Amino acid sequence: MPPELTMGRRVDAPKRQSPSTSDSESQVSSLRLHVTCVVMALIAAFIFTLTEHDDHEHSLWCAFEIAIQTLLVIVATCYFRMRIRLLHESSVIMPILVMVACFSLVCEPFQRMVFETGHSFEMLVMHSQCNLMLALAVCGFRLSFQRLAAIIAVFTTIFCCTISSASGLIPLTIIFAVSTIVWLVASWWETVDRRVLQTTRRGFPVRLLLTGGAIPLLALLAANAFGANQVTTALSGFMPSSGGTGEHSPYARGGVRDGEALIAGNENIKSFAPIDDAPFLDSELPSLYDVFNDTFDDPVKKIKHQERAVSLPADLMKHIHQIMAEAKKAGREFDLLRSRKQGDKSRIRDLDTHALFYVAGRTPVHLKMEVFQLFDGRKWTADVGEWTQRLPMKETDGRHWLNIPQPGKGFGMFSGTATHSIKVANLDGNVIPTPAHPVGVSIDLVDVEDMYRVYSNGLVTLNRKSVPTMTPISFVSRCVDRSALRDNDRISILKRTQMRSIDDLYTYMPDADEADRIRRLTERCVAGIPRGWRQIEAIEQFLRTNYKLDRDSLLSEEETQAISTFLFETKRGPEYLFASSAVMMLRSLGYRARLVSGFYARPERYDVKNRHTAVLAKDAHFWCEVTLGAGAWLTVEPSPGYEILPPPPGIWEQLSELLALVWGFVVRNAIALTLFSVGGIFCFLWRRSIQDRLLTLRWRMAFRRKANRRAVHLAVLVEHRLRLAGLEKEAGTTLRRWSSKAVFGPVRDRLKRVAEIADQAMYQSDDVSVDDRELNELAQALSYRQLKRLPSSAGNVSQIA
Amino acid sequence: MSTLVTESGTAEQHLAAADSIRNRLNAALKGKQDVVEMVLVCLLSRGHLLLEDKPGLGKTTLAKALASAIGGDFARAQCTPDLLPSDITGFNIFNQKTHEFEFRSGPVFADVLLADEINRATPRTQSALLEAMAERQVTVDTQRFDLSRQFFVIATQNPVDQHGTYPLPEAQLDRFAMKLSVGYPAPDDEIRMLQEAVGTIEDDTSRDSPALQEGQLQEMQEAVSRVSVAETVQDYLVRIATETRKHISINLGLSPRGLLTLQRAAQAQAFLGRREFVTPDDVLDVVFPVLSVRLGLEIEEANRVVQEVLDAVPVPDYSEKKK
Repeated sequence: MPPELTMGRRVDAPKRQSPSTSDSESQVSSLRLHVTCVVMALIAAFIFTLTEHDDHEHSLWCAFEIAIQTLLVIVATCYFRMRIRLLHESSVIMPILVMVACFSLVCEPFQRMVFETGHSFEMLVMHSQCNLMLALAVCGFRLSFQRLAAIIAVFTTIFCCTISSASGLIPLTIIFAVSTIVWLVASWWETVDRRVLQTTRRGFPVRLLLTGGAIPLLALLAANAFGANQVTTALSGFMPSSGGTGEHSPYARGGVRDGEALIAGNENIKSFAPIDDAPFLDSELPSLYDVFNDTFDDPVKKIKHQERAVSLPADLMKHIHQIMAEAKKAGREFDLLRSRKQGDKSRIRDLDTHALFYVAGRTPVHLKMEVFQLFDGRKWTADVGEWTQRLPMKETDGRHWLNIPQPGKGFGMFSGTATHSIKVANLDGNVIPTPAHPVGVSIDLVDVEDMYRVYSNGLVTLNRKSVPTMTPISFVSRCVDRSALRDNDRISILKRTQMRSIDDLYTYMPDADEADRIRRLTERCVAGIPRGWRQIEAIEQFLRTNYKLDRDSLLSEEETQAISTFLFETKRGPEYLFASSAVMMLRSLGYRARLVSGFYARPERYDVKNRHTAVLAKDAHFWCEVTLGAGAWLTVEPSPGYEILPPPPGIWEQLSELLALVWGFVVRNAIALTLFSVGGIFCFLWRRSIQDRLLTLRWRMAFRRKANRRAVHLAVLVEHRLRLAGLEKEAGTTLRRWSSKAVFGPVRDRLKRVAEIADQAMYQSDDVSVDDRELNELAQALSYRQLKRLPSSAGNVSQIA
Repeated sequence: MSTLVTESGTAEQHLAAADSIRNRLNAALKGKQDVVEMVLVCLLSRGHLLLEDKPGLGKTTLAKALASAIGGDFARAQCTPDLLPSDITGFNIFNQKTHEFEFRSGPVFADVLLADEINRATPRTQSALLEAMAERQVTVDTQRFDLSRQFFVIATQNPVDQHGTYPLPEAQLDRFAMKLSVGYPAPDDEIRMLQEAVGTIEDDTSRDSPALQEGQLQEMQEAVSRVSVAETVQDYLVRIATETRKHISINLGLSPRGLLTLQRAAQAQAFLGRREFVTPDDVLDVVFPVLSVRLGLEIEEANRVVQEVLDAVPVPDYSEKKK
């Protein structure tokens, strides 16, 4: 038997814990495990709070609530942890837990009476349970409480995932799962750790790497959880849930919240809930044409001086007059020359504050309302188009879809589909804002094909006076992969069509001189580019880069050649001049092109919370289309600042977009980030020294206190320094005994002196007199630097002196 | 180092006397300073001592040296299975001359009683010591007799030869303040012991004059009882006691009497350390022998279990506010 055992003196035997279950119930958990449990419970509480505020009406309150509960939990945990010895066996904990659990239930009647608000039953119960979970986590120094908190946290998270589709829920759930696994592993390891004799330090900086990885992830999640921003937009639809995120996912189950069968949306116009059984309403709202004319100024300028002109061939004139007559019947003309005089815009201003309609689905998207074919030099005349009859309806998953013929299918230019739902709020007329290349249209419960009319110009209308308000109309359309068009030799635009064909008004140019001038300009801008899509892109790019979009810059009233003036002189103007010029330039090279008016659903107006995009009156827009032949018309967007809907991005494209956004952010804030990073690295590398400085400062401040406290504070400071130097004292031993370790050889006497002074100050009933100079000398001699120089490996520490 | 402030003038005398006892015990038992220190603690805390070790390690030598040092009457009872309780306490005998019963006191009436190989006595005889050790009195034939104020029992037992022994019951063990194991001396100490034995016939220390004056031991014990114990230290003591009651390997945790003994032993340790207040270090110094006598375990096992108990109970933190 070793003598030190027989002498009754304490020795540092290896730590070991009895393998008893009943005993472990009352064990004190390590701080690390406790913190993991608190983090796990807090994440579950975040998830619940997000679920509770799922109506997105109180984001600020939600953030405030999360901040408050986090703060409370951290403070309470610190408070309990510091008084662990008093509280560990205390009987006061159980009543506290019961009170916390009952708090929500007790408050609810008062809330209902005083504030006239309340919670539903299940939310109330969950609220109470969530509070209990946090309280248990705070009291998690008992392992049994931690286990209970973990069970409640798992249940809460499952419950929330089942009922909610709040933004940020899925990433938070993933983090919760990770934290739960970490807790389980740590919990298991702690039980193992009590049984092993010695631990060895890991050489690999796992904690550092994990921290480094977790911080950007948390920052992204924080950005995602609150507010609409670039990160949100980039992450939108990254992993759509079955809860109904408004995004398409083949793996998602339908049915909850904004799915297809829940709430009639006629109470809340912003809701995209299906109103498939809602009444089709008529209203006295402004018509589509009013909006367009109001948006692009009115009234139309009257011609004072008619210049001499060359008459058109008789048969062409006849054809044109016929078309113009048909168009005029419906008032479907658009004049490029607009008066500078401002009209009465009160109605438009009103409309600015209310969306004309809402679009759910990917943006930007061009929604076609009218197609113009014939241009006489200043006026565009609509292409009435032909009504395609007897289109088949097909039932898919209980919905009836009108199959729209897909011209240009054989060109291999499509890549992926896009789904859009449109709900009209303030728009009159029976034309549905239609995305390009539609393949199907559906209104729930509408199962008769004669309700729709699909025209050869690509427009879809309803066979009634107006599009019903607040009714979602769903479109499925194909997306064009523009990059695939560049080398596509199957496209018939490669062939030069005969200009000024009588039958082909899509290549018609009114004025030969102007046409010639435009052609020369166009040829200059496409010089060296082979005929085909690349030329079209060059023209598009030419207009986008060399001309300035300015809705206030109108052509003069004397103008006769609007396009030439825009192209060669003013070089600025509204979108219709861009679109018309593009059409003319394309036509000058023999491409068949036409002008299209409609609306542009802007990505900037994407409402992250409601997951749709509002389209306002000022989003009325003009663009042009060029045909590939066989009735396939491709969107060409010559106006700068407007984009065309790309094919749906794959997961890697989304990730690369996200990375590009992050990189962009990094580049924009390079200086600040560099300073921050350098500061952070400096603080990290010198964290112990900084901590030591702060603790020393705190000790110096203690000099204002009584002599006893100064002496005791010195011992506290030295213990902190030992911890920083990796020589932390074990809880079950005293500083004097700890200083007898072999590693403390050079400073043992001073450590013992510190312990002696502190013991005297702490345990002597009377006040003691302390020599401040000696305290200062001891503090300097036992500095962090000095202690750091001591060999701090575990083997050395465990040796007895 | 703070000085011990007891009744003026006597403190230094007491400590000098303690030093004297210490020196004499160290002279008798070579290289066992730690054991000697605990014996002193046990003496000053007015507790009884149980020495458990193999034969020939100096248990009896130590007991005799202690009795000689404190200067009281020394009595030795060699415990055997046929030892009767009256052999310990004394008995009434009929005096045929006076025709009255006379009380013949037993060895328990000495100041220092060495109960050698106590576990060889029958439980009946062992129980006879209960009252004497706890209350410092004996009752014989309904007559109560007070024992010496400095009554001090040193019992020894042999852990190896278990044949024909009667393990001490828990109640009896609880009457002891400490259990110590002397252990084999270090080789150097054994060489010194051999050298001193050359030319010496016997090592009889009983003839030496006592190190303590009349009544000085009581004064020292009273001074020890006055050493202050802060509330944080008492809280620490209670937490240790609570932990022993929960520990899986301990059938019977520390009793309140044991807790009082532990505090008094810590006070004695502080006294010997020339302090008038108890620190957690004092508690840790004495906790092993005080607990090991009560745990009903072999001494190696007891040390391991006590270590586990101490590991589970954090010492008072300096950052805690003074109560």
